[in-house]
Amino acid sequence: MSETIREIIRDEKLGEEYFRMKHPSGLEILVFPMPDKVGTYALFTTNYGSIDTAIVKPDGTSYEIPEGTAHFLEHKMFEMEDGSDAFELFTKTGANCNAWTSLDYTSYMFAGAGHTKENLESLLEYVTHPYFSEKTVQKEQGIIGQEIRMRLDQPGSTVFWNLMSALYKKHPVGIEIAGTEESIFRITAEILYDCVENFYTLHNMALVVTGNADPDEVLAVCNAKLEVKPGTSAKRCDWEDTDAPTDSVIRVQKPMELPLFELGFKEAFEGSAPTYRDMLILELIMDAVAGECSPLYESLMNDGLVNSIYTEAEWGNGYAVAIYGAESKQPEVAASRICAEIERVKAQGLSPETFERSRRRFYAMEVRRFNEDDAVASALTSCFINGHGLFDRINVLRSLTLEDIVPVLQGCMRPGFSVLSIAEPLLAAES
Amino acid sequence: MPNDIRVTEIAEQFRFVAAPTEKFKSSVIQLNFLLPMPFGDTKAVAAHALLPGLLKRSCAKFPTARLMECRLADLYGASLAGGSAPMGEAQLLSIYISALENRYALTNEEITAGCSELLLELLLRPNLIDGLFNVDALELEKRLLTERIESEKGNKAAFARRRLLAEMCDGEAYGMDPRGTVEAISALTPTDMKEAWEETLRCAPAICVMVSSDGFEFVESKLREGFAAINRKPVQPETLYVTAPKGEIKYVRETQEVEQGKLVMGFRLGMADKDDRWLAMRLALTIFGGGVYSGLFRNVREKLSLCYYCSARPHRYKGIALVESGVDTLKEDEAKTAILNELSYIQQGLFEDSLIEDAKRDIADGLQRAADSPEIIADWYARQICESNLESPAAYEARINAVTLEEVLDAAQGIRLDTVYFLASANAGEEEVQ
Repeated sequence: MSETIREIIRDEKLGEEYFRMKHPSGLEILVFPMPDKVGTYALFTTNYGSIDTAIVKPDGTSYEIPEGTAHFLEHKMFEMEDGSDAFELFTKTGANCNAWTSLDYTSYMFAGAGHTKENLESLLEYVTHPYFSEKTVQKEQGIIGQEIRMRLDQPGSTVFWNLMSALYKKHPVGIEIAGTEESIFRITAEILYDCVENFYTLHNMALVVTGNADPDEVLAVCNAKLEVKPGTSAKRCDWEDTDAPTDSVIRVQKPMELPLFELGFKEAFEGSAPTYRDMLILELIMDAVAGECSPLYESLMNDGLVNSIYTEAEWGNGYAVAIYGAESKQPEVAASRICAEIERVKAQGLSPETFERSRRRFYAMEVRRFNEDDAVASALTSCFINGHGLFDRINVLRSLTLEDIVPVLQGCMRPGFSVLSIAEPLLAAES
Repeated sequence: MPNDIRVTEIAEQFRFVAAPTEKFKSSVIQLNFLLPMPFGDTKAVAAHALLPGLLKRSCAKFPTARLMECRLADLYGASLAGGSAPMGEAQLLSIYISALENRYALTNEEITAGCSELLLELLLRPNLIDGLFNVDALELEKRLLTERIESEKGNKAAFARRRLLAEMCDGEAYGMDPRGTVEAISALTPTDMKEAWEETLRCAPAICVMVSSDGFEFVESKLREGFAAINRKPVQPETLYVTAPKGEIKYVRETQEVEQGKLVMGFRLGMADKDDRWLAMRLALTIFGGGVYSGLFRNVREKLSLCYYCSARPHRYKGIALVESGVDTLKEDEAKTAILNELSYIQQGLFEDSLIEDAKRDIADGLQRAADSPEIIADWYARQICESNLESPAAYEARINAVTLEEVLDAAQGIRLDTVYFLASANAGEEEVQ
């Protein structure tokens, strides 16, 4: 067995450090010890999410898989060949276990006080030893079918997916993570095994352990449990989807009383994905435009147009979207006021006070993240997926100046590249 | 958990809990007040529900929401939150501030002191004009609270839960919307809110929990000083515990244009008060529907594939429990039968003894990990506002571990179905049943 490559990454000002190790199996191991913590939190992640709607073979050819397969596979991973399931493994130690699928990746977690070795062994065991049969696949179709229906009844979820699918016609980022009731009925055990073979190779995965964790102990468990096999990370589809959206407004009627909206801008970037730095600056600009300290927020609240506003940058392989969302009785009016404020800020720039407030707020959020083992684990997972370091964001914020943000400010949130997605009450006649 | 908490009485039935710790990068101060929720008095309920928002959004020193937000941003984005939640037939009003510890400030600012001062300002020196609450601030808050009620109609799980409670606890204060009604909110005046604020300071049992590395003396002395002039006459709110269903099982079915049916089943637990067989009851409900090892998860979800979620959650301070699930409308009866079967198995003791140990380990794990979060520590003690002696998670864990199988079985006998609410899909006939 070849040696594990290990490096320690420190932030002197924070007084924090973590270990990055490349295991001979190909697995990336990231351990962030938090000696004061009682609990240990772990995420075992594959670089495979809902946007991976095709398997790309080494020769470059590809074949499509049904929408929702990554999420379906995540559910099925919990079942073991002997008829038991992964939940039983963690019940023995009292640890909590769960899993989730995002646009870009799939993570399996446990959180527990003590029993770290046993919990880690269980995590590695069940995710690397999948078992599927047509019978167990059929059983899951009922459960996931209800999950899909549950989300169809959530107006916020519908607004988001309508927005993403209107912004991206070619890129699969607009496809709901769980797929549809129709698509999941096309999933077979064979497709799931193909996905495992392609995406669940250890060369495509990372293990993140935070909290009460010792890197040597983690490594020892990996050495004992993981098979060393040659391989590479999975090939992913490349999408070229930079066109302006054709629809500027998309509406849906739901049995609800208070409308809500998301206003999204399709962002331009170079290469296959935007940089974490540009996305951090974009988030900061959005906060300065519509955050709770902004004149816009105050005026929209005082005019009765919103009861709160949230902002987020959604980005990954081949996509980047700036989103403003709110509940509003007049979504179009609120959204047009946001658009007008963006243009004003672009023309006049941010004031030094506004910039400094947002910078401090973001800096504090980054520092406070290090309170929580789960937040650090999520951040490290994001680092693995997006290829940056854990302290990179905080370092950018420490030295960021008003001048630094100008190029992003001038290039972001372009008129003509936005969609307003609205969920509103059913018309009286229908309700 | 911090090794030592220090508890002092800063005014009558107002405790200050100091939890010193260097573990965290942020500090937390949480203030809780407990007010009664008188049956039928929607005006009082609405006023209580609205007060935390009104207090936190502005104060005499920062008289607009924007000035307040800018102050919080200057304090490195300190989080300020406020709200009300039912605690039995009482309303628990909370205001909470959390901020970066001083040692992480970029330019050596005193963040904790700034936050402490701000919290006390907004509690004791609110945004009054001529002695009454600012009308514009009040009107804003009325709109926000009203929109919270309207917004819930789009959240079908929450809507169904609310409907179940209204039907099951009809004629009891717990059946009221703890935010009041749209009409009652609309009618609130600056005078009403001044009275609600004064009532809170004077009559509500209170607790303040601070988790921090430093700054306890300042908060404690300022609270003492602020409350010295208030003639406190605290009243402990009381809750009506209905130990058994009043008659036949009540069934309510409503229809909307939804994709999935929402089933909520309300049970009376046979508890005569908040402590009556509580720990055994908690374990009984946990093995019934509280974890991945429970009957509802293992059988109703995993074996029968009837739903994505199905769980049982106790409302300890009212002595009831709710089972909630999202199911296909055409499988409503199948789901109800399966849920009741699982309860029956527990009541008859038809489960492996190890299940109790699984539940104990699960609960113990959560209690031990509570020590890892300043917010959870603060909330743990702040929610013991009704208890005369504060209990640590470790002591609670020891009591849970001492519960016997016989006690769990005895508690389970008290669980009785009272009301079923089902929100059906109007398109159910067109659904394809898998």
